[in-house]
Amino acid sequence: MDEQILENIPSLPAHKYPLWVKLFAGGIILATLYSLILLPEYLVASKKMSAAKIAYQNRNYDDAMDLYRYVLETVPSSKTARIGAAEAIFSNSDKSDDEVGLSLLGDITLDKDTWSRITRVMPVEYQQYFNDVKQ
Amino acid sequence: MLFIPGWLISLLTFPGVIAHEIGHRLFCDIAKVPVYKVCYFRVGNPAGFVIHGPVNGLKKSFLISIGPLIVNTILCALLTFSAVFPIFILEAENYSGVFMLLMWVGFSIGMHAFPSNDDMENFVQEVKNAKQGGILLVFAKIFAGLLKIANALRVIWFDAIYAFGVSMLLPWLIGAL
Repeated sequence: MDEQILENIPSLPAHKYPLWVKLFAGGIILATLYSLILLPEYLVASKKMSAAKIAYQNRNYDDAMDLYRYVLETVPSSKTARIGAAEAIFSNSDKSDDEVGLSLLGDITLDKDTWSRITRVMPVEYQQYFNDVKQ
Repeated sequence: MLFIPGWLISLLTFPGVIAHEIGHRLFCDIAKVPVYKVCYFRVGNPAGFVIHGPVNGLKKSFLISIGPLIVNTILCALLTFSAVFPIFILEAENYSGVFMLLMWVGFSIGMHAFPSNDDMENFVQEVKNAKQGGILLVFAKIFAGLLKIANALRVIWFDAIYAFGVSMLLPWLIGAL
């Protein structure tokens, strides 16, 4: 805007904001703080999941199961953790807990790659419980 | 490619527009530059604006033009930080609405981080006025050019890509991705 026109317009008082703007800014600050308060729990769960993946790759299936269990306590519906935990359960030497692995996969839609990964360790008799889904 | 009218995007991401304009206004006040008119949000083009007086000094110009970019980027990263874990990293199938809210507000703020082309032209002009030739002017022109490109690329959702990238930045930096 032209400077001469601006000279005729009174400027707004500095640092004086409408109430709704103050409330909005306060809300954003509170939301930011709340996000940071929530963070540690999920950050730890994420680290544990990374550790669980490494433990699984190193064939430490019991460690992987414990780590995935921790993740699932924090985020029970974590798809990655449920699949990972099921894989670890199917892969360990104890076959008595395989049904737990099966139940972890309940109501999950698996993509082709994940399905082919799981079928390598999943008992054959369980595979009949899964159906193809057209996407 | 999905084309959505700009006014609708602004409406859906209104917290970002408001945060951007608050940033401009706040930095004008901090820099003691008179502000004549502020529109924090409206359904139109532009969705918000701040009309301020002449800026004397490169630092002040930088603060007013680039300040909202820095503030919006930091807010986007912090607001979405905790929500990124259950939604994208842990792939939770059910999560609290709080995370959706944090993601929406943070993402909206990130999408409106870029200074407008006018902001950048003002900044380049101020660099010229300050007779700061050489490397500073080159830097300012490159930066302004990059932001003009970024603004032009909004038609291919570059602002949303930027917000997504900023959301993933902190988890990536701490090695969670």
